[in-house]
Amino acid sequence: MADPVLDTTDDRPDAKRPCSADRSALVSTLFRDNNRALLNFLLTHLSNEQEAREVAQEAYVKLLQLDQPEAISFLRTYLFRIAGNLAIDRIRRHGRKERIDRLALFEEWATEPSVEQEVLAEQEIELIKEAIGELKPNYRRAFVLHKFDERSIAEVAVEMDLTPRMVRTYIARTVFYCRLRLDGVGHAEAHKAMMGIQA
Amino acid sequence: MSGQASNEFRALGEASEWLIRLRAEPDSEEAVKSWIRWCEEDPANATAFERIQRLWRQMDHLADENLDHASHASVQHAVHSATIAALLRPSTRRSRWRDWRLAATIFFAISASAGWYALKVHTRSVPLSTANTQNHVASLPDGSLVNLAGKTFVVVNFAGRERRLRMSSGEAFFKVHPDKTRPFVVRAGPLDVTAVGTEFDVKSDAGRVSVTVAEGVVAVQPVRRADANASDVPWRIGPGYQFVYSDGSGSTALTSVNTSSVLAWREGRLDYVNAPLTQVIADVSRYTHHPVEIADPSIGKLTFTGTVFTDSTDAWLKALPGVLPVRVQSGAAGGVVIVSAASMRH
Repeated sequence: MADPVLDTTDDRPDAKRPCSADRSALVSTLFRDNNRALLNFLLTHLSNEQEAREVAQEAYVKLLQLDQPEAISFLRTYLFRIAGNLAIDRIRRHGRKERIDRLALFEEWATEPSVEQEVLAEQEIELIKEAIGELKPNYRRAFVLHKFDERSIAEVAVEMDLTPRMVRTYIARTVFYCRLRLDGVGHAEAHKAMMGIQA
Repeated sequence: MSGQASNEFRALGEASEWLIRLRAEPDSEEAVKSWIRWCEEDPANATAFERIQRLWRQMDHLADENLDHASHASVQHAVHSATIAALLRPSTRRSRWRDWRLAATIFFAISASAGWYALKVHTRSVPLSTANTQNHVASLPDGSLVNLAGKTFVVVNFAGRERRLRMSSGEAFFKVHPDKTRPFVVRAGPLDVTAVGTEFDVKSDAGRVSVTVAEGVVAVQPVRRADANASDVPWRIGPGYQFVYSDGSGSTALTSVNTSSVLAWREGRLDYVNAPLTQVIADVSRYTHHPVEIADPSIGKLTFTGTVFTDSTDAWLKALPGVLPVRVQSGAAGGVVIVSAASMRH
């Protein structure tokens, strides 16, 4: 990577110590280069994009307010740590996930949700249902418990009498399988690919 | 399987594992670092991750009892919907109910358009305006409220079957009193924005119109011309979303936004995160006594992050050279011109 300041692998506090006048420029660069990754990261914990954007903004503001110069050398690591903590705070404050608005579903087609696209979105939901129906009951149960009953991986493991590693594998396989089926991959091929995820 | 397809499969499989790992270890810095490294190893990885994540969020809708009823912003998943219960049964089959539902969606859209074409133009009207640089709140005869930004002009015409408003360039926030029998239609530039009972913001500047919805749903449609295609279907925009139309390119975009930040102007604050300077100046100049111009289009592309208070725009303009590589000069007719810091002083 060209800029050592933004390299997460470089956590040496003495890597570079820009003065605070540089900080807003650095944060701008950080924003430009990492915003997509940061939003993707936040969306693994938060279910709606607006909330992810809010948390990201809050994290950038916090970063601008940091006063230890050492922090600058691993700004990106800080950014993700701050953002992660803010996201977790938010989840705890709600005590539950917020349901995303129905329109968020159409983000995939972004510019202008037409009637055809709405129909397409509904068809995708049906296809997802069918794909999940093709999986073994254990996979479906692990997925539903984690996704809709708000149970952590550890809690699902206890409930299903499996190792947490197995639960993770089941859920990852379920998501992977559904993605492939939605992409038009055949049942057998998708099944084979899914089994490539090893516990 | 071709090499490209197998790489895509690999990336999607790994992305699925990463999604679950990041969810399972929310506090692990090590996991985040390795994940970032993985994203950067191959551009296919980042793309795959986004596709897996989009699917994960799409799956939220499996919990909807009925997709045709717009869900509220926050609903607990306490009770399993019929769909989730079905997922737990030994097998799920395609039902007739689904085909019926698809038909219902199409019917709804057509009837909304039919209502649209019944609209007529009326002539009696009452103007409302903020000639000065202050925000202004007006209540309308039907109980709706309009919050006007500085230098914004709205013409109200409630004489007919619809509640019609026409907006000059500027910005206005509408809190619409619900009345299903009389649509509330705001014309801004080349667009008509229609609401029943809802809260939304319209901003119209130099061929760019943005519509931000705080509550409810609005429909946006280009103003109908005699030669318009009768099958045009309006864009429907839900809460938390901003629709932007650019006249020059005819392009449209729908993005989710922080509505409280978009609407902060009503409290005298303009909030920006990486906004192009042209947009910021268009807003700020609604609150200055003299025109503000950008001398060079390349400066307009500079981005600004921060807050401008509408009652101290002069101080903000003075401070701008500290934040961006620009200089602020006096221009013609008492106005202000923003030039590149690199350019010669005249």
